[in-house]
Amino acid sequence: MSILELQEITYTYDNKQYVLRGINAKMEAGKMYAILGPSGCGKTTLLSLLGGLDSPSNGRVLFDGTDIEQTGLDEHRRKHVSFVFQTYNLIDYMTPQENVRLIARKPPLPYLERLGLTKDEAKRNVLKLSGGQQQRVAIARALASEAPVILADEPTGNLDADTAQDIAEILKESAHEEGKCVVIVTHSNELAEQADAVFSLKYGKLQTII
Amino acid sequence: MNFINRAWLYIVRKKGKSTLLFIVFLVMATLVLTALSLGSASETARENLKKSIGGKFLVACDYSENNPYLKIEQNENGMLIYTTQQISPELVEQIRNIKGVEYCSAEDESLVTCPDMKWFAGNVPIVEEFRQSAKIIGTWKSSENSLFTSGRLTLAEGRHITPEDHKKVLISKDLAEKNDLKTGDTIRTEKGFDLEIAGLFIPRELESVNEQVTTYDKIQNLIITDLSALVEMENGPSVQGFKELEVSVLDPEEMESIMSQIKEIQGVDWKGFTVTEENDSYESTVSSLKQLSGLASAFLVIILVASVAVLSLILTLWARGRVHETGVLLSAGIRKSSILGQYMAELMLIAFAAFLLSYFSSSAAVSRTGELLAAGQKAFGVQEEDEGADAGSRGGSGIGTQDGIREMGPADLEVTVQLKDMILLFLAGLAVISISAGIASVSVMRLKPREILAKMS
Repeated sequence: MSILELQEITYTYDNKQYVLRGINAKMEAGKMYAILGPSGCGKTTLLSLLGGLDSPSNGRVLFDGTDIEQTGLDEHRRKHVSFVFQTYNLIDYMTPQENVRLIARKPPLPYLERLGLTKDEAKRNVLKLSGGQQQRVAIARALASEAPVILADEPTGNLDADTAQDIAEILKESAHEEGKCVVIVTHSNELAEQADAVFSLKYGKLQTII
Repeated sequence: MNFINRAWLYIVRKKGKSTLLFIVFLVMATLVLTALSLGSASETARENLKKSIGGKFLVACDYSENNPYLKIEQNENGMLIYTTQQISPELVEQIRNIKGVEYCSAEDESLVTCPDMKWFAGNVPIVEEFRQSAKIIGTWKSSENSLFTSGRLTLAEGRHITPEDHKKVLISKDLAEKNDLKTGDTIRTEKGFDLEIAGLFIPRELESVNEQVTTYDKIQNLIITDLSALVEMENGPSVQGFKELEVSVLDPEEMESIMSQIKEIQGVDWKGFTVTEENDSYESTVSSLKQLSGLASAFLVIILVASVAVLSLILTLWARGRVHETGVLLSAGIRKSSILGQYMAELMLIAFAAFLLSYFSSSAAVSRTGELLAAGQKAFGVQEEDEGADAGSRGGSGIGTQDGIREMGPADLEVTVQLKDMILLFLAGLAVISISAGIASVSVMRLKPREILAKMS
């Protein structure tokens, strides 16, 4: 059974300019999905709708068969999804541990250590970490949140190839080993190739590639 | 992590911003607390003044041509001027029953000759006719007579004269001892009236050696009696009631209201009386305090408005810098109310510390202000004492009562930071913070999470 489902999703700016047109898709737990597409095609918009950051102009987003508007977008964001952004989006006055604890009740250190941060690094100010380390903190936060869905927007966009590969592996692991549904928006074919299913977004329409 | 934890982390990690806010709050709180304390002090001083000065007005028989009851008669001794409508004990009673009236000092006076009495001699030569005479005051209730209420006389033995008494007197203890008299004894007048001694009084002070005073005017020779005895002894149309009634009120600010209530009393033709307010001392004293209170209020409003403006400006500028953080928190499912709560909690925590510290800074400020005001008040008190002494010499009894000195004693002007001022400061601070944080956050908080995230990128 799909954990996330898009039903006839349409999104327009000012009721004129169509970004998404009648999109239908289903996503299951334990799989990693990639949405490919050129810049400005609406990938981030689609991710925002899945994550309850915005509402579609038409159509419904279902989580476990329930419309997320019915659940409440705050509630959906808090309980069902966690985000990983290209720019990491960490709170700059907090340590990695505190950033993870921001939304997770579990002890943060095991997650951070699993993602390669030392105890010392876990206590530093996040701005003193490298880009790769910061993205690992963001992923640790997503993993520790207990949300069954991870939505990642260009998670490797600012990282070098080796770190990008590490991050891709971690996300894949969290899907396959922890049963999370990972949805990645990217324009990187290398990252998309590691996904279990790949969608292409063009002219507001979503097509299944793999 | 709850909003309090987040707020605390922000405060301790963003030391520069927290310190700046702390200073802003400290300055604001010091100014607000100073203004509040000044306002409270002036209010307290006004209350003290009300208690110490009270208010007075004089109801007196009108001896001008405007009085339709005025009579002018020629007799063997010269010209007799009197009014047929005088102040009756019943009218005094009615006035006394008006709410807010503290004392009614009604009296009329004359001279009484007692051939058997040994008087204290004055230092002004007088004609033979008056050598065995003394001043006699007919009063309503001697306990409310200004001689006693001012403390000039104190009842030492016996009891006060009441309106129900007839031919009862109060004399000085000195006079009683000089004549070997005690309470219950009688004094016989030249006209054959026996006046029973109801009580003995002690004067606070006697006339000085240099003071020019006749025998009958000496305070040790003063006789205080009931009105009915005076009327019977005088036995003439000129003494049928009281000539003057001094009404003391508890709150000088209620004076006008009480005066208008008096004029509504039925059965009295007010064309025969004058009603004169003696409230100048209170008004002149309180006017500077009212000014101070007004200044403190205006100062307070300006500070509060300026605080909201400055704080809103600072917070609005900072809120722009916190769009990123707001977006991250929203994307993590943290509610807008919790985010606003965090921002408010940050301000509250800093403000709380600043407000507590402001107790000391404003205490120092108000202490200096208090010294200045006390110095001014002291100077004012000295001036009023002089005026009071003059006013006392115009007293109805004809004896320098020096009421003014007692009434115009310096009011307690203590400018200190009080608990209620601190509570008001916290309430005002809460309002300022809520308004400022609301103004600063509204532009970010009304956006959808995605719009905030778009701004972030």
